[in-house]
Amino acid sequence: MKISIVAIVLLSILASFFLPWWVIAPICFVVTYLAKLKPIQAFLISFISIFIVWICAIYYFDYGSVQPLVGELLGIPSKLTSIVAAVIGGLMAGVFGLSGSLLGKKPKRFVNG
Amino acid sequence: MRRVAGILFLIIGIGLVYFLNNSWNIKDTPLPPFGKLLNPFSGIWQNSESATDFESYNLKSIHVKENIKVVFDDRMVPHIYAQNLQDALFAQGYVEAYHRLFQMDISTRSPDGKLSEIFGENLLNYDKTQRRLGLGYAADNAIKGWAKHPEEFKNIQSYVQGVNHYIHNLSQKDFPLEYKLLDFEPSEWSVRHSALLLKAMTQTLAGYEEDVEMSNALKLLGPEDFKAIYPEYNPKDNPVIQGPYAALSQEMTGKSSLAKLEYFLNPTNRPKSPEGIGSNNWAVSGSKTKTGKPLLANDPHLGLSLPSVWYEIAITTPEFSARGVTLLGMPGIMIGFNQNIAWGETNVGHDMMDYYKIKWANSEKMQYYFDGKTKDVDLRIESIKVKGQGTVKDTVRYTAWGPIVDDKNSLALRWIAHDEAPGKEFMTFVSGMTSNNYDEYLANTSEFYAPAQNFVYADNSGEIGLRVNGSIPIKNQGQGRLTSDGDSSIFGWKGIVPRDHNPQERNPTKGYVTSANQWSTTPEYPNYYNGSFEPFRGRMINRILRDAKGLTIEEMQEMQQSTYSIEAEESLPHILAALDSSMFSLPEIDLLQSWDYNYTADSKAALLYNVLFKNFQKALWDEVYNHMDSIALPLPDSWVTILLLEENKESNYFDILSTPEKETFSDICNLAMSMTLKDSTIHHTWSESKNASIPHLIRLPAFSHTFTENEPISGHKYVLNAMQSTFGPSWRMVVSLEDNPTAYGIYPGGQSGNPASPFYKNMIDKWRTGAYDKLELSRSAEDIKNVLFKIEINHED
Repeated sequence: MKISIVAIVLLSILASFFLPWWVIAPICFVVTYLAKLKPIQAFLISFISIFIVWICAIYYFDYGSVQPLVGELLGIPSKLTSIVAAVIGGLMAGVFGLSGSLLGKKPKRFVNG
Repeated sequence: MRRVAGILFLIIGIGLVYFLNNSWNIKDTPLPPFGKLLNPFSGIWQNSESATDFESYNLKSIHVKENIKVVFDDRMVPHIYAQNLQDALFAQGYVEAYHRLFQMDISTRSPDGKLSEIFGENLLNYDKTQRRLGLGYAADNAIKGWAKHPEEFKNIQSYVQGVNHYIHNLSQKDFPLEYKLLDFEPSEWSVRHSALLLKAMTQTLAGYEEDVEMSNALKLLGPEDFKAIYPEYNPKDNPVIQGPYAALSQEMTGKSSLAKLEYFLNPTNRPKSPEGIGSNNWAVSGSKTKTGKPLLANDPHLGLSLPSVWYEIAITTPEFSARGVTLLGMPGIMIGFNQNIAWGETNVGHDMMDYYKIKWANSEKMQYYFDGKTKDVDLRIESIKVKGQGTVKDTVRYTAWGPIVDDKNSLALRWIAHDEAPGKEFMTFVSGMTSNNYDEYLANTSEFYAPAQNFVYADNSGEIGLRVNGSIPIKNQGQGRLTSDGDSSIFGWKGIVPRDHNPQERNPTKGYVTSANQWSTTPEYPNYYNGSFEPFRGRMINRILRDAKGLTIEEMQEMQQSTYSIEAEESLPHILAALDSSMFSLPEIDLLQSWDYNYTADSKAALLYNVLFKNFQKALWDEVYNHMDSIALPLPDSWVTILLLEENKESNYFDILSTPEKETFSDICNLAMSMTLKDSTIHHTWSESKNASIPHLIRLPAFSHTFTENEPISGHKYVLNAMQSTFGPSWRMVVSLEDNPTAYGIYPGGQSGNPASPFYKNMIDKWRTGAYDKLELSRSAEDIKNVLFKIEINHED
């Protein structure tokens, strides 16, 4: 499980610098396809990994001037903007994580049960 | 089951990616591509900028010949140091794109009628109107003419290469954030884009006409009243050039015409020039200044926007060192100074847009009568891409006059903007900034075609001058003021006034030259012209400068901030004297009586007067106002009202036609005051009533600046500080032409076009409070003290 988190975080940071933003989708799918995770686990791991990557990256890249603009554009408090952005990324990642785990290798307990 | 669920979620996921990667329009609400926009690695967060964290860099291009250094100072003003003019213009193109790419893009899409490609169907009608007006056609004509000067053309090509060098090396994450929000990509720049920007400026500044309104007024009122209510010249004016004038340049042939109206014209898609366009400039000779050297001041009034229409720049080559503001997209410095001279412009405002009523020869409107024959129209098919809808086609008919702008009324447009300029108009602001004396400057700016401007000039040898510069059509008396018949070429313009016959003066004995959009000349000037002229600011400048001595830079700056209203001074005492004091409460009367005629931000009297005088004019000119709901009519000018107050208080115009009684001047004053006191808005301050703001180019509140109650705004369109609610002084500059010129300038905005940059609107408050930045010239990159970062450009083999 820990390996999956590390893999998603590292791969998505690296790939996002060179590839379109939605590269996180195939990354989450492939990692959860290969890892033997329960679907709910795969969803949460993908969601949380991308949520954290995006939140950290937003605070890394934004000197504080973009949050108020996004806040006004979306009509939400500026402090919530990074969270809203990260939830969007997280949700998308989660759906692909879920689908990867459903289509991929089953966790042992699942196989035996 | 598990597999099915897996596939289902995969499909949902792919759908989600598709949704988040594209923009949408759901129930007329445009939605951005949320994922593309909000992801941290290529989205909007990448556009964040700090005030200090910039990295210098180098680049190479096959288009530059020698080393170029660009140094950005602590206000983000680029100082370009190049070894030759073409390299300098390459760098100008590069830095303008660096800071203002989206602005340049959208400002050319507007004249080209390509906004619906980005914004969708909502702007289709706007695009159609622009294409009917033939702005793209005008740009096509312009570059045909420009290319006939291959040697000079290389300069504008170099500028274009600079813009494109920036665009070609731009990765998606670095796109200006508006591209991310609206989900489109920058496209390659071309000379045609620069021409489009000049045409957009021509639309703004030489887009005045009231042909249809005036024709309607003549039909409604009859010739006698028409002449009285809409006279052509204000005898109290101090025109730009007070004479003597060059003789008539040619014998007039042909005649002017008025198309007989069978019905009032209520045109559907004729564009209107926005109100509030105007500017001040003046130059004072050394005999009137403290230093004994000339002073020059210029403040162009335009629709304010973020990013600002202006961009500050300094350009140095071994031949010259110039500084000032550029009109984005055009190479050179439009308003500025160099080591020896200073220059600036205000709008001339002549009517260069005339309508001709076409007589069709067939019902398909493919042929029309012209000079006793039938003539075929030329068809120009406009293909307009509309976001989400494919391409819409619109066929525009072109006649000998120009395009049919108004199908319903069969009106063709003759407009100066459509001409193929014979000279090197694109070089005006490039050669202008390299000039060293007035003869050079006059020669270098003589081919400027349109929109005609009052070019003011001063230099450190002590010369001052002003020329009404640009192409002025030769017209018969009265021609083009009204809608003309379009079936004969005798009703057309008779050519262009030779440039040395344009009104101008050089070192006049009065010791100053000035323009503020007033009449160019007295009626003694032999060529007929009409137009939209400002009746008060020019008089105010003359009033101040006439007897002034020992003038300083500070006094010039104070003049630019002046809020004194001649309109109020000349109208209010008449009205106050006639009011029946028993009818009105004292505080309002007291307020008006003690007013000093200044449109200061905190003044309540200014607002009260403004509402009162509007109501007064409405009550007075009921002959016109009563019909305005149903007929397109021009508003009578306030200087006409003032002349009536001064000269004929017994006039029949004071009678309200719809009542059986005969009203007098005093009745109208009382009526206007009663109407005013019923107005619930009159208790605010002048600033509060204005709701001033500086809107972003696409009107997004998040990127705009709205002045709060803590940011009071003074000014009025008829005072020197001509700040209205969104129109106003878009750049203020004062230059003292000492051996090394001392200059100050400010504009309401910031150098960066990026709303997420600290340099986006950092100069607004300084501008609002009347402060200026010092503008220094430097000969080498090492002279700049507080450097944010540098770009070095070298030749690539």
